[in-house]
Amino acid sequence: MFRYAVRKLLLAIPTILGILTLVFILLRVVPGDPVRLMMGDVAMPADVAALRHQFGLDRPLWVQYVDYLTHAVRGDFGLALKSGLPVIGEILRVFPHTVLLAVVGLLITVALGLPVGVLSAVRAGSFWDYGSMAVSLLGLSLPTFWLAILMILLFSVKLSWLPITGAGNFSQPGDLLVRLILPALTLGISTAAFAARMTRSCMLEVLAQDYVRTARAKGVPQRSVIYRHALKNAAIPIVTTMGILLSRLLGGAVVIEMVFSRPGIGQLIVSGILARDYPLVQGTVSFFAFTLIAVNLGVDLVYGYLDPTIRFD
Amino acid sequence: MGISTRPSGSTEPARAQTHGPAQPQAQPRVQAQAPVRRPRWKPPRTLRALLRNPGALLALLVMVFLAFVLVSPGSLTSFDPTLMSLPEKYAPPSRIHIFGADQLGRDVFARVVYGTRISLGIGFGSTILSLIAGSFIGIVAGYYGGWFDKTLMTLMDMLMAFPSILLALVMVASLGTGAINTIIALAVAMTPNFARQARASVLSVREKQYIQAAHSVGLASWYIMLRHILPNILAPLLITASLSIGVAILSEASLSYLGLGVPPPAPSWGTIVNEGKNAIGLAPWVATAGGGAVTVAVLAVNLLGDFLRDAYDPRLRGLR
Repeated sequence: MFRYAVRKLLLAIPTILGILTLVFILLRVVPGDPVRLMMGDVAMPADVAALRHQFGLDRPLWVQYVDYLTHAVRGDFGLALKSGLPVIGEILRVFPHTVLLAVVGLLITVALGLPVGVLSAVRAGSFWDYGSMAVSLLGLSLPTFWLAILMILLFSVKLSWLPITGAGNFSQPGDLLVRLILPALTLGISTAAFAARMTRSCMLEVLAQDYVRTARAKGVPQRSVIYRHALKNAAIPIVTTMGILLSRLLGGAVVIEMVFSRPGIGQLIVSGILARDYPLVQGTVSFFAFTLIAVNLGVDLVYGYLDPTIRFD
Repeated sequence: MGISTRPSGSTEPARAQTHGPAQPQAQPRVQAQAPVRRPRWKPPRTLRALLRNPGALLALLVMVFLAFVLVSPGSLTSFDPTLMSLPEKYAPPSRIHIFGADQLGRDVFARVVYGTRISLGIGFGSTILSLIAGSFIGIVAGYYGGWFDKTLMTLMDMLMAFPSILLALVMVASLGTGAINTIIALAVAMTPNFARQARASVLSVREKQYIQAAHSVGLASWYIMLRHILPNILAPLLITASLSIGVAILSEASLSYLGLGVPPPAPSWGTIVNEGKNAIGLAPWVATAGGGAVTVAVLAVNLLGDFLRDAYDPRLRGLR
């Protein structure tokens, strides 16, 4: 297990470098002039040149690349344009809110998606199965932002139970949690639809295996077949898809944060793009990628723990 | 040149492959060899299955209707989607304004109807673009293999590590907003998925006898890839594409909602929701109409995609 963990950690290093390179390519090499976008079409050529010089964008591309890479790996993403503060500081200020939203969203997803998926697979073809799969298809087809607005309309506007916007403060946990309910619920519901379908198909596959049939044939009670034989083996592919799930959750958080005006990584990226705060966008996206790699590394480790055979390939 | 006159070595196994019990939509492949008379075309299984599936049938009707709206929005409403009429600001739904009016007094129904063209156009456009780009990358990588394959696939894996909405946002940040840029941004975000799948299929097809036969008669690589590999891996790719359209429509809506899609005053469904959001208590019909349109379209596309996938391979039921 230790060797497996070390190998996975070492493998993450080229991935991080690759993703940083990718962010660099997407934002700098792709046609489209960030400085032009930032200043608009009416800017004077001299101003454009000055700003370009200020960001070091007039240097050769490879110099910019090395400079960006050496700073980024140390967590230095330069200064944000609007606030003039270090980008990393801005990120760390809002990051806990995104983590909180994603973690609670994940809990809701698992609590909602897994049981529904398992039950659908066990009673495949039943009324429950068709009903829950129809509902989950609807869940997959609802735009997250629209679901969020409908929740606001119901719980905040009509019923006035919950506050609409903001994330509160970590010094007031009660307020923080109350403001978390709607965003986390929205995020959880939309991802749970996906999780339920995923769980169902993993479970169906396992239930068709020989050892499940054998267990049934020798008279093992249904409960035991499902919990001891099927679910344990279905856990492996389900955990594998957790990476996709978390990626969806973090992607969903980007939109949710904007709807609920919550501070967070997604809100930072979108407002950065809208304000054409280019260093902020680049830094935040890189940081987001770091987070995703770390999360996937964690999933890999859990996976290695659950399925010992995976450690030896 | 010799391929159309001596097709038996390369195309017979191909037919056996594409002619499996549940894949009737792979038929066009066979048209290339006119001399070989194949058995009479049976009534397509997919069509019969469709008639037995009320959900998919309804979805198809919705899609046909949306296609009609897309082609001729003017026949459904006489209002101009961008015409402002401030006295009618936030007018509630009535006989004249079926879905009410928005903050500038524009007819919401007209905006939803005209928004079909933008939302579905971008959704379908970006899916088709990513299908083409992804298949190309996947086929070339799988066919040549080696370091070329490794490099391309590592790149695709890295792109896949990002949530697609984030990747689209990054692309919009560097390209700017607008319809074409949105299509490109979404296509980039969706391409890795197609590339991965295409490559995996190529690997399973590459060692088949008909490909070796094509090699042995000295066909050019591009010809083998285009005429022998592509037709044999196309069906599952098209299934994936049909399931991706919903995701693309949702992503476009998200981008427009965030104000990073097609710029106003053009009506996109996501933009309509965004404009209605601030008045959700005062005029809930604006946001409801926009979001409802997205949901109906995506639900129809997903139902049809699910149906096609089940018809193609029942084992994949419920998989997403």
